[in-house]
Amino acid sequence: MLEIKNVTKRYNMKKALDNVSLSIPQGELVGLFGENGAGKTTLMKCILGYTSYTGSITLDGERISHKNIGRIAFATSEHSFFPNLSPNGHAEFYASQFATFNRRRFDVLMDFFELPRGRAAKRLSTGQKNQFEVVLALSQGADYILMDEPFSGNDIFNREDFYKVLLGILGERETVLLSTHLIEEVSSFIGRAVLIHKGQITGDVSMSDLEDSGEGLVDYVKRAWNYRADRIARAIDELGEDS
Amino acid sequence: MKDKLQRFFPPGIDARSEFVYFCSVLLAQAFIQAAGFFISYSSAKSAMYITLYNGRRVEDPDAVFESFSAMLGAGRWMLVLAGAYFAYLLVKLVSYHYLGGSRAAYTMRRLPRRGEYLIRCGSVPLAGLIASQIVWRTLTLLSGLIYVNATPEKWLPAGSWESVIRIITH
Repeated sequence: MLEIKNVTKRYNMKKALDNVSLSIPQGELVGLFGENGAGKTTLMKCILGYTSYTGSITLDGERISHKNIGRIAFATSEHSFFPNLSPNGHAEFYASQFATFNRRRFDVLMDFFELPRGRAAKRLSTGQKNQFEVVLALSQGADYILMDEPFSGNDIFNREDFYKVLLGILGERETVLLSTHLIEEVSSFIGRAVLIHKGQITGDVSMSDLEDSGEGLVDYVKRAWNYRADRIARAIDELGEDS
Repeated sequence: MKDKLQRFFPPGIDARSEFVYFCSVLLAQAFIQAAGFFISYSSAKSAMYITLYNGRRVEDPDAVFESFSAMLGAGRWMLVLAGAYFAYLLVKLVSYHYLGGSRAAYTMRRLPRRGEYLIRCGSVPLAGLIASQIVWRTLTLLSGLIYVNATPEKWLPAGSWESVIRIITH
């Protein structure tokens, strides 16, 4: 269980995260939704210990440190691979660092995405870099896989391929926390949706509960964010009156 | 050998060529320091003589033999340059984790092996700084031994050996 309790993060005087609490048990596929600057990336960086915060984040009751950090993988749109190292070189490096590294999954995913293995990672196309980033995160053998906008720059076909692969390969104990703007696209395969708005958790719902209620994920998100659909019509009306 | 070396460099950095640069800097430092001392020492010895109208060289009674410290100019410069190179290497290895369209620092900072990031960025530049200090002090000691033992005693400035020791231990 990944447990986030009362986490607050400030950048100077501005609160990027405001008293965030969240529990993520193993085996869930969780979508983390929020507008730009809502705090999604900051939350992931707090989990990984990249930035300081107040509050506590634990993994099965233990603070996250070098002892258990190997249980968490991270794929980010900023990328985290070694630019001069080839994919095969990455596989060797990961195998030397992470005892749980799954070479077979790495090979299968590399073949699936048809990624070149011998070329330096910086020479891959933008879409291939994103795919490679995800391949590494999924092959690390981690229990928790954090993905921060992993598909920015990939086309819809690529993304659909990825969703199918993700559903097909994830083990029972593997958990994915997926931060994305693509609410509609991921709504069919996530099990739970967490909404973050201005650094606060504003919604947390399981997809089965949502289904039972008859409300779609997009409508739920709009409601949670107090999205005013009439504001567009009003703006157009005002513009019409002016002209 | 390459694998062992690679453990002290970030993944993707060519350890062998970096090691060649590392050795070249230290060799250049040693060569220039030694050559600089021998050139200074030879010219200081020559300056102790004057050449008469008939071509004979005789000792100049007014000449003063150059101090040991003044003969180490090239060595001092090379110590500074080697230090600057190893500082540059540190910056290069750290910045590699932030450039090239990726933040590999994210990966390095979440490795289970504590200190891996530090070892792969800091150990070679630190070893270089230590090695350049060893080169400087060893060659200064050897140069000092030559200075004290190969120079006629009447030319030696007072406290020459103490000056050698002071420079080495400073």
